[in-house]
Amino acid sequence: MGNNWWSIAFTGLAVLGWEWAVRFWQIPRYILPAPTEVAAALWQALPLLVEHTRFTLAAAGAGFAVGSAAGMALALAMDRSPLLYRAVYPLILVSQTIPIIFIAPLLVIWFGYGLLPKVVVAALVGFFPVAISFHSGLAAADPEIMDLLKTMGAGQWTIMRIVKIPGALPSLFAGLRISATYGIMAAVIGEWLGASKGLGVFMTRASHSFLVDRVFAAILVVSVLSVGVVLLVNTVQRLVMPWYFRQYRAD
Amino acid sequence: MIMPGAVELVDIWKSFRNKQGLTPVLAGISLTVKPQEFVSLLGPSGCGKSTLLNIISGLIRPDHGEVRIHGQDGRGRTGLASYMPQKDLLLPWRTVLDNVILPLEIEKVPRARARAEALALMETFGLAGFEQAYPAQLSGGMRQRAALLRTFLWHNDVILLDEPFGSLDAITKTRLHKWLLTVWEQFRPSVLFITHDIEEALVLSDRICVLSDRPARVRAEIPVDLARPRMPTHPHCIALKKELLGHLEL
Ligand SMILES: Nc1ncnc2c1ncn2[C@@H]1O[C@H](COP(=O)(O)OP(=O)(O)OP(=O)(O)O)[C@@H](O)[C@H]1O
Ligand SMILES: [Mg+2]
Repeated sequence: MGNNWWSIAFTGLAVLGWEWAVRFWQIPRYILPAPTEVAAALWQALPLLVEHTRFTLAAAGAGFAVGSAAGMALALAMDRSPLLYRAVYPLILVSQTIPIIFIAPLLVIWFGYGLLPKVVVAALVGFFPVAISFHSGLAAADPEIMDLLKTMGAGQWTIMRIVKIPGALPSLFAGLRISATYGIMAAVIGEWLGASKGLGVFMTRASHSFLVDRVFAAILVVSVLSVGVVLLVNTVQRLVMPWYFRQYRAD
Repeated sequence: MIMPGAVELVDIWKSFRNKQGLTPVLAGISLTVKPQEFVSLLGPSGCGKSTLLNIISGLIRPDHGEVRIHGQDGRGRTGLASYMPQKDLLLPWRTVLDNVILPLEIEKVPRARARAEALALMETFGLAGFEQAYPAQLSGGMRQRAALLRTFLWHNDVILLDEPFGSLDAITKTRLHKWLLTVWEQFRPSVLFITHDIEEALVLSDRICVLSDRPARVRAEIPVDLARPRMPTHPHCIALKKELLGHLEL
């Protein structure tokens, strides 16, 4: 908690410094708007921003749901089949190095300018962190506990259900946190490349008209959304694995 | 007719392969635990005691030899004996209650019935009031008792215990010995109990098997003909202790 207060205080100071610098050097608004100007632009464009945010959130949410579900399924399959793991895992790692900005135009060509390509981008981006972290969580299961369950007559699926999946939940949620924030970013990138609605569109239009204060307002909204989805994932995690938090409170 | 032993081991051999080559661990172990008998295996650290239990529990196969549990071939076959490994291996995400019912859950006993059965034994195992606690909130001794309750709920009359009190202080240990004997007299399972604590073996067992250094062989089998509860300071215990120390070359 102490750390949080320090970073809040530091951010406040930085914003004050920014405000002061813009006024002192009289920097034009189309280059760098002052925080108060950004706030004013945010307030003024709020109805519009809410409308665009709905589209971005829809694309990011659908993509995240599909991508993380597929990621979990692949992680389970790779854990059950070493052959599949050896065939697919290197591919997954290599595919991570392809910047999303290169794939997005292809998706626009294939799927048009609607919601679908954005959902696909968000799903692709969200898929990998979940697949990789959930799989590593499953692989880290304690072999001695699994042996004990075997002596009790448990089969592979029972061991998966009782030992592996619950043990992999902390890594799964770490992956989900990354996927959720990437999902928002991916949806915005998808919208940059062609769309009629969404925060990405709002940003592109604002920057084409040199309304830099609006660009900053959109950036602010995107950041708030990213923090919001992380908090949402954290809340779900607390509900799903109360033991994890109770254990550390007791220590 | 001769009653079959609860556990019969005939000439068990086992080696492990590693980078240095082949390490022989068990070199011809023969041993019988009679029904309702409490037998201790006493041996130096690393001699192969856990390996022997892993063989009896069916987790690993012996290179040679026979394993019979109530007359059935137990080689590579799990589920014939209840096994409490050296570590407590409680699942951190389950409460004590849900940890101890694990063997019942795996046998597909309905959860409500399994819980009722476990709850009835919480008092006996000194866990009353901690049913809903998570393992991280328990003391070392309580974790061991939870692991023991889990082993007893398995409903096998053959119980393999691998140094269940190895990591505990002398006071807790002595209390748990008394308590284990009470529980054992109540349920009367056949027990094979691993330890490297001579007094522990003397206080608990009907018979003590002394193993040699690795590769392990049975050095001696010593019956403890003394009514329980026993005091380690009893002259007979002291005499037996000397004898055991002699067999361990100490
Ligand atoms: N899976 C394995 N692979 C290779 N070597 C093994 C394996 N399991 C055990 N060993 C070796 O076998 C020997 C006996 O191990 P074991 O765990 O049976 O000893 P122990 O008598 O139970 O010791 P302790 O009293 O310290 O628990 C050790 O030297 C160990 O390194
Ligand atoms: Mg051992």
